[in-house]
Amino acid sequence: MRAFTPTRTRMQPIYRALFFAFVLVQAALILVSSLAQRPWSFWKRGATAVDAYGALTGTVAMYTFFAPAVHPQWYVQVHAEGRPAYDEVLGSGMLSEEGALKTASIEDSFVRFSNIPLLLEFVSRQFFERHPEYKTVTITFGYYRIPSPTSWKRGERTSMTKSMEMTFQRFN
Amino acid sequence: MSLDAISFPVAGERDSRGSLVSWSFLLRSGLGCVLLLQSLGVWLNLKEIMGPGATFPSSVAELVEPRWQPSVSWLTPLLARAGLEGQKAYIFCFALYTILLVLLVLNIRPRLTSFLVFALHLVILGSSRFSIYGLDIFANVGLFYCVLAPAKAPPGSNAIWRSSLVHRLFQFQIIVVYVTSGLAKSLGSQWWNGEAVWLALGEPVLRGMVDARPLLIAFPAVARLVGFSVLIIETAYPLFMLPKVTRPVWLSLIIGMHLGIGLFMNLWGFGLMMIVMNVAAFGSEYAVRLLEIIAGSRSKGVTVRQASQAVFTGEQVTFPAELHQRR
Repeated sequence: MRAFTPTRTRMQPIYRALFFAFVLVQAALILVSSLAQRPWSFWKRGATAVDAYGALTGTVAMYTFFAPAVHPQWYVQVHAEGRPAYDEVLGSGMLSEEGALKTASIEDSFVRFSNIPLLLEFVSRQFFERHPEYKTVTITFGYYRIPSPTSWKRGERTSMTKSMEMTFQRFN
Repeated sequence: MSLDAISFPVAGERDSRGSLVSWSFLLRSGLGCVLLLQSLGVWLNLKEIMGPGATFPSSVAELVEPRWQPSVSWLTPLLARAGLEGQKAYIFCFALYTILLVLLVLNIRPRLTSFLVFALHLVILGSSRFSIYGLDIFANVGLFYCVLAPAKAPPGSNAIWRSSLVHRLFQFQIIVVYVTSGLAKSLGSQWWNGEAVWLALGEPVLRGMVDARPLLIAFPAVARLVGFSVLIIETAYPLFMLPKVTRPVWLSLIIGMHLGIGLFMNLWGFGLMMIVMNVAAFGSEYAVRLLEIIAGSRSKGVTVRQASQAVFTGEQVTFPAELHQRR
């Protein structure tokens, strides 16, 4: 086996030290943020920079998918009287599964921000833009209720529970 | 401790075939494939997801974002000069992103492509934040490691050392992801009694290719078993993934769990993404062997294995003689 000495520069140890320090800081950020902690929050100006860096690089995040519980799934139903009557659950007309998942994520985001009326308003705007033939639209927001296995055995099936309903009218 | 000594535990994984450089290749090409599939799905409904006519218009979504979050609006003045305004600007950005993903899959200028994909992915996230889910979050994480990891490791360079250090960091983040996710699930009762499995499989949007509900009704213990297994697989991830003896078993369990997520919940993008991340983090040597078997030729793995067989001895780096003969 032959051996050779690699090219080494004076900068190499410094570079390695800096890179090693960077990796240690990254690891600390990953660990601390996963536990929902922000020990850098006391550092007024720096806190925003750390938050921004962490969010952009995926370093500062929490991983609680389907945890601790699986929440009910939301739905937005669009109904407009006319000829023909329009009835569709938002996302159901998507051409791809990815589109349906993204729509479900939008609904989820609005629930997280507790601003359902705004979501319904946006849906109505989109509806009027695409369907100029309708004058009024009723948008319903709710969640899917999945029966327990025992109730399912008795014949009960997934149902839609209404939480909020808003009617919008075209003005122009 | 001298800095050279740091390279010993990190790069000295002598018995691990292909774990040093091949992991980043697997991550780049795997992520590229999954994100390319996702982007093809998004293309079909781009108007509803991103742009002025989206369900949640991007112009509003961009306003909600913090100042530092890049979005298509940052590029709007530049794109407007080229006549790309309104929806056209979003179509252009997404088209560029898709083309770059193809380059990433083909491993063309991997580091530059990784950086551009990472940057454009952030831009797209900034304009469609409300529609992101687990897949997009992990794509961001994975792409960051694609940017960090060196693509080539010429003998004597810092690249092997850096690659293995980034690999360790990546492994650490994956471990944190599973342990915290497992612990968070274990805090509720749903995963212990199987209710979570029943609910997750029953969600209308998450209805998979196979309906497992009849099986869960006929054998209620299956839901409890699956729920409990998920808790064990995730929480005990580092205990069984780090030792080389148990790694193949745990990797198979994790891959099985994510295939199940794809099959029964129709979250194929997310499932495949996590499989890619796990294989890149802990299974690159198995993947390299598998690729060799599939290809029926050992030529593809030569560079990868030779790089990983480098033995670090402080000041000197020695390589197997066959490497010099080939050169």
